[in-house]
Amino acid sequence: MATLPADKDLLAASAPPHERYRAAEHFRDRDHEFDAVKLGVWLFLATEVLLFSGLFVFYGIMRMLYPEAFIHGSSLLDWRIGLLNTIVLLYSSYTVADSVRCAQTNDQAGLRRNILITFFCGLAFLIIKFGFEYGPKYADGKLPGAFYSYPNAVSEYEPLWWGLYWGATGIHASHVIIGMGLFIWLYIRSLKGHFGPKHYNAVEGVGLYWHIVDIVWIFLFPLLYLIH
Amino acid sequence: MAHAASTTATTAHDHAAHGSSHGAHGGGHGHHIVPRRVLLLVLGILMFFTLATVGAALAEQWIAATFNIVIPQWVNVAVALSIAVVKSIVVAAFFMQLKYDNPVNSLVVVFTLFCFAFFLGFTMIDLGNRGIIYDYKGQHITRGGTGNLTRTIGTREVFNKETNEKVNEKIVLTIPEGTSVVAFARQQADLKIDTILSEAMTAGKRPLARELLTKTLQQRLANVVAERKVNDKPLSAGVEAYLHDNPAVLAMAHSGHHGGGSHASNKNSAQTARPVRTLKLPGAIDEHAGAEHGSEKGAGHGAGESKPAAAGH
Repeated sequence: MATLPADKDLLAASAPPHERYRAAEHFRDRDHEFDAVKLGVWLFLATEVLLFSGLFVFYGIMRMLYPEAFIHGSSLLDWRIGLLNTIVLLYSSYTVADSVRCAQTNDQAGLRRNILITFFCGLAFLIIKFGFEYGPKYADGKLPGAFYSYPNAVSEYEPLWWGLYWGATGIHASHVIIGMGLFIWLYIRSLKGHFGPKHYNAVEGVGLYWHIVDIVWIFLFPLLYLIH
Repeated sequence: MAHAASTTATTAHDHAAHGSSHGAHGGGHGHHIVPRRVLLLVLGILMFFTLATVGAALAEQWIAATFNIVIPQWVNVAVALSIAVVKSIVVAAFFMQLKYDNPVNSLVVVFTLFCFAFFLGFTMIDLGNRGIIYDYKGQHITRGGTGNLTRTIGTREVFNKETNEKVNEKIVLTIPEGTSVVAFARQQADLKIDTILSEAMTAGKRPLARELLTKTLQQRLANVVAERKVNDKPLSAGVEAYLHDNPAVLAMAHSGHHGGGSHASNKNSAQTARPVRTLKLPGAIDEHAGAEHGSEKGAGHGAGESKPAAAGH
């Protein structure tokens, strides 16, 4: 990104980088590159969905076999915290979608603001997750498998439930952390003026990734917090 | 800001119209600008459905409690998943712009969902129907956790003299007060080690059964010991004493651990689900419930039972 090729015949060198951006040589033009990038990101998201589908199948099997463990385990989660996190993530999805719009309409200030808000939404999600959920649950011994030491279980299969809980939310939280890293990267690039109506591939790609993280949470929230 | 948004919305539509004329001959591109009011509307819809899914769950709980009825599990799952699917479609269509996009991206999504449906659907069909197709295996895939501090530790065959047929009878244990169910399950697993141990020692005294039993039982004990070592759990005193007298079993455990150890430890992750299956020995039956029954059949029974269990591995 440091060496954005400038089309010196058409544009002055003083024009911002996103206007001077030219597609890589093997693409016909910027639109061709944009379509290829987007298809590539979608293929990556397909693998992400398949990664989480393993967890959802595990959920289906274990809930079918040990419904009591799941119902009691779920009753030990606070749905209000899950709801708060859902709202935070949904709002961040909106700000990401809006940051794409800002890039398309060359609203540089709006683009930076939206990226920052999204980053802090991710941070808020993690603070809520670790502060109100992971911390107390770790202290209570509500841990997976052999690490489980919570004394008031109703079903002996509850360690399986906590295995699923920590596994699914942990993999999801790691996606949030990776996403936050990507938003820092986007913010630095947006300060350099890399994104505008003619070139916003990275904003679009990271945005799609963030939306899939949101969609996974949309499914995890009712399946983990709202069963009884 | 609102004024600016509406202006860009108009230009966006012009642009989209231009783009779709390109899309007709296959080179369609996704530069549609979704207006801010659409994004805000989508956010509102998502928030509404989030509250709806919480509301539905709370309402279901309230109805069940107020009218004292049991609402089946699938209602809860169906409502939650339907709302989640609607929310995901809205996110994918507008936030992820699939609605305005090159259709090849939607094709990727549909293909992915097809794979997921295949994965989940066939697993569920398998799990739901094992009992019908494969009767003796069906017994082992039992749901656990009865919720009232009793648990089924296994089944045994009982000959009903009136109907002249064998029936399966559940062996139910009551968990002592003050013991956590998980701790109880772990105790049971330890008890089963002692059962294998006593079987192995009894088998050693009977020359005819020696060939058949000693090897399988000691192998099984070795597997259990290997698992325990892997999990760093203490062994019961009886097992420790036996291992002290029979170092060969310990050697077997170590070789089992390095060779096929991962297989054994995977099987044991459900803690008690698998031991119930593999240890269908007369001694494994609870002392209170099946004492006289176990001693009746004792000798020949163990030899017959060990076969399918060993074949299962």
